[in-house]
Amino acid sequence: MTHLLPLALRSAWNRRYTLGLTLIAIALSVTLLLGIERVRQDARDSFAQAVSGTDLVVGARSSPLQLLLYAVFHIGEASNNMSWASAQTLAAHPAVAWTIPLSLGDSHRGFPVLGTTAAYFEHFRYGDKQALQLAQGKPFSGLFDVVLGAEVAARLGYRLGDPIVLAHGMRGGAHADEDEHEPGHAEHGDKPFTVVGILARTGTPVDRTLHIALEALEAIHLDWQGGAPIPGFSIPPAFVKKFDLAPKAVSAVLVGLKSRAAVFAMQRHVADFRAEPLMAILPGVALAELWALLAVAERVLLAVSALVLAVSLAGLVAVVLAGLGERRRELAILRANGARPLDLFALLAFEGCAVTVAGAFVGTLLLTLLTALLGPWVEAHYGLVLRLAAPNAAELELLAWVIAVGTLASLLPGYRAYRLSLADGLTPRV
Amino acid sequence: MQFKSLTLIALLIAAPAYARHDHTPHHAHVHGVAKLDVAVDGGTLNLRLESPLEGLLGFERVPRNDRERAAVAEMRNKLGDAGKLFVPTTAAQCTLKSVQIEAPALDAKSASANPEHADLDADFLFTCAQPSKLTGVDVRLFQVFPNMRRIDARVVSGKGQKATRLSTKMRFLSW
Amino acid sequence: MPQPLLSLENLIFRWPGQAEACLDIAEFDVAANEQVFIHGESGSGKSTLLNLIAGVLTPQSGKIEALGQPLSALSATARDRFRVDHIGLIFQQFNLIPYLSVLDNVLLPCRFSRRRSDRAGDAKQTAATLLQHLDLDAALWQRKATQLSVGQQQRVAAARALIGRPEIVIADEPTSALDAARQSAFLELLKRECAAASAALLFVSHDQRLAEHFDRRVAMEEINRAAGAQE
Ligand SMILES: Nc1ncnc2c1ncn2[C@@H]1O[C@H](COP(=O)(O)OP(=O)(O)OP(=O)(O)O)[C@@H](O)[C@H]1O
Ligand SMILES: [Mg+2]
Ligand SMILES: [Zn+2]
Repeated sequence: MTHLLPLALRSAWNRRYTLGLTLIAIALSVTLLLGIERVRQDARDSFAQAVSGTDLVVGARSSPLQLLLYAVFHIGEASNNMSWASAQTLAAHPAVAWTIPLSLGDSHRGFPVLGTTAAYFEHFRYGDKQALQLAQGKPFSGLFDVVLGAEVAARLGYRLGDPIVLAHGMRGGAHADEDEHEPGHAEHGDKPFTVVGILARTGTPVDRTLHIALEALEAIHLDWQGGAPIPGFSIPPAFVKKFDLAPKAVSAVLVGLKSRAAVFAMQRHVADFRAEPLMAILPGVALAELWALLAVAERVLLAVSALVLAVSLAGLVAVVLAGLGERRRELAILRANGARPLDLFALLAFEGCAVTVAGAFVGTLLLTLLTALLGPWVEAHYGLVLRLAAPNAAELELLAWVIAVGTLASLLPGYRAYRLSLADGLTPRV
Repeated sequence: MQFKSLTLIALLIAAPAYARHDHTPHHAHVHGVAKLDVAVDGGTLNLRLESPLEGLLGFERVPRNDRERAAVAEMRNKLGDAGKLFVPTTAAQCTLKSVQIEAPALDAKSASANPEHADLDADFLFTCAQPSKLTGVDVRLFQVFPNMRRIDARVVSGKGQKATRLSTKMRFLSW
Repeated sequence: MPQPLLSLENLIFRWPGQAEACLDIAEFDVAANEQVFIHGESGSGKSTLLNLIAGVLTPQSGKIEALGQPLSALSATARDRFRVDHIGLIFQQFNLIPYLSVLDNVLLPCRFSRRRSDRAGDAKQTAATLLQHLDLDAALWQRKATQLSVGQQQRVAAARALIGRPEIVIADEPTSALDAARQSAFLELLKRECAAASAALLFVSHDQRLAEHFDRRVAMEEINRAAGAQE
């Protein structure tokens, strides 16, 4: 068979344009297929990283998904707040090791502003039980101090000491890309904040968040009512300390327990809370259930990309088969010079197989290239960390499938060549 | 903003279904469907089973005759012999420490309000000599209680939290 | 009488799906080094006969013996092997593989046949000598086959048929695409080189004018008893 290999290569080179285009089609569809699989896995990993250190998320009773999304991912808004008193009762529960109260609602250039306490910097854990690290500066201590997530600082070019004005509400003026603010959009311009700390990158939503004290959130809304400044009434920053800045309500509370085993009991305890209707979710479980529901959509996406691949492979078979018409004479010549019908079968099958393998290889390479080039952009815009790595087991399995199907499909032109060479003998009927 | 597009898709697809699939403790009572909460903490393995009585016993009220009383006793025996219901990774060398069963509906004194449907709650405690080897539990409830079709399991362990749906085909709970 | 190089006996061949036999040949022999002109009308079964001798087709009955070897006793693979080892083939036109150079086209049988390769010795040198003998300028050797004129292509095909000195050369109307002058020139070259390589030549054509170049001429109608039934 080895004497055929140089022939096969020269023959393929002779038809490099059609075969090259087919190869590109296969490579692109392999990139798509692998890309979808990789984004799927990376999204799961990425999301899981963000919830890893929290035993329970407690909030006003609503939908668990909503609570998960705004408390952990800062997406959407709380339909109800829970009272500060309840948050404190919860914190005092003997099974509870720590709590981190969260208040969301305001934003800055599209990034969410999170009101919290010092406990956030002490107890929050992400990824593999990692604590937050400050790349520069210190946690907030003054009332109008703000600590930036790594992405916020990087994207907006903020440094320690820079002043920042928060916008009211989550629509938060323009997205960070568009550099203009909605005219007339309500801002807390009278009470600017100062950057006192910048967190190290975590690969979680923390990177895209601005952190201020709960009291600061109270302070900037002292002279506000119903989402707008009270006309003709303004309290200058210097005077806010004269008011009671203790928070009245929070959006959610992250809870860490002393013993993991208590988590289910604690969840029931929260659900039976007397003072107000509350709800506790296990973030990891909520996420798993979310993924289970999304599995259908994921499968559809994978199926569509598999279909695209199937189309490319069908294209390959069509191209090789169409070429066979022109190559009938070539096959007869080879036959006259000693090639067995089986050799011709191998010649054609090898061609399709080689193009598939090359396509799979180029596609993987392309994906790696795209990940390297677009990874930082995707992380910046979507908070999704794409891993730049060799194909993992699942991806290798997909690749194996691609090559197997491609090889199988290539048997068709091989078989056709075999039949033709038997029927034609030395005199092809073209 | 972050995760915007991804999550938007997620929300659109999932939200309606998710609202129904709600893991608050006071869950819907669905025959054949049980809940299993598993907590792994150091050398202890806690399992809490919540199941409609129907799946375990066939009826959900105070037993009325000797046959039904015998059925209740048999069920209690089966649950008490929990080493046959839950088989943790052998290498972890786990032993059953205690079983607590709560089924007020079976008790004439406390039987009450909802005469139609009633649940049974059972807590199982194992302790394991080699906790680092503990990676899962083979859940054999389906064989012992053929009326049970599905178990919605939640696990918290050192590796995090997860949720899995167990069935006769997929009865190994790993973490 | 020495044993013939090639002998056909009571050969009957019918194309699949056809009621009438295409070939019915009682006897046909070719001796070593012999040069035979086979002619017959279009459709008389000339090409079919060559396919049978080359072992691509197998007869329904009868015997084909080449070099003392009954072809019907060989497996399909062994017949393919036998063909490249002992037979050189030239067709009417489009003899060359378009993506190979002239030289590589000539060397093709050596790729598939150990025997041809061994008998050719230094294959490249032998190919060069053959090409020279067939009046092909060295400047053409590295060209793609498609860049040659039809006459040049036929001469390259002849060189390929002769390389490694097979015992039989079969030419199926190799001159029909050439003009009259080139036809006889090519024919003479081919005859000379076959003689030089001590190969028997089976030359097929429906063009009676070429018959004069051959001592032995065979009409299909003479040997093929099925010929009448065809028309
Ligand atoms: N592959 C085939 N299948 C069925 N019949 C065939 C096939 N090839 C040839 N024939 C038939 O066999 C007969 C002989 O054909 P063949 O090609 O041998 O003739 P020929 O003498 O070579 O003609 P020409 O001078 O035109 O080349 C014809 O009647 C033809 O129709
Ligand atoms: Mg013919
Ligand atoms: Zn505001």
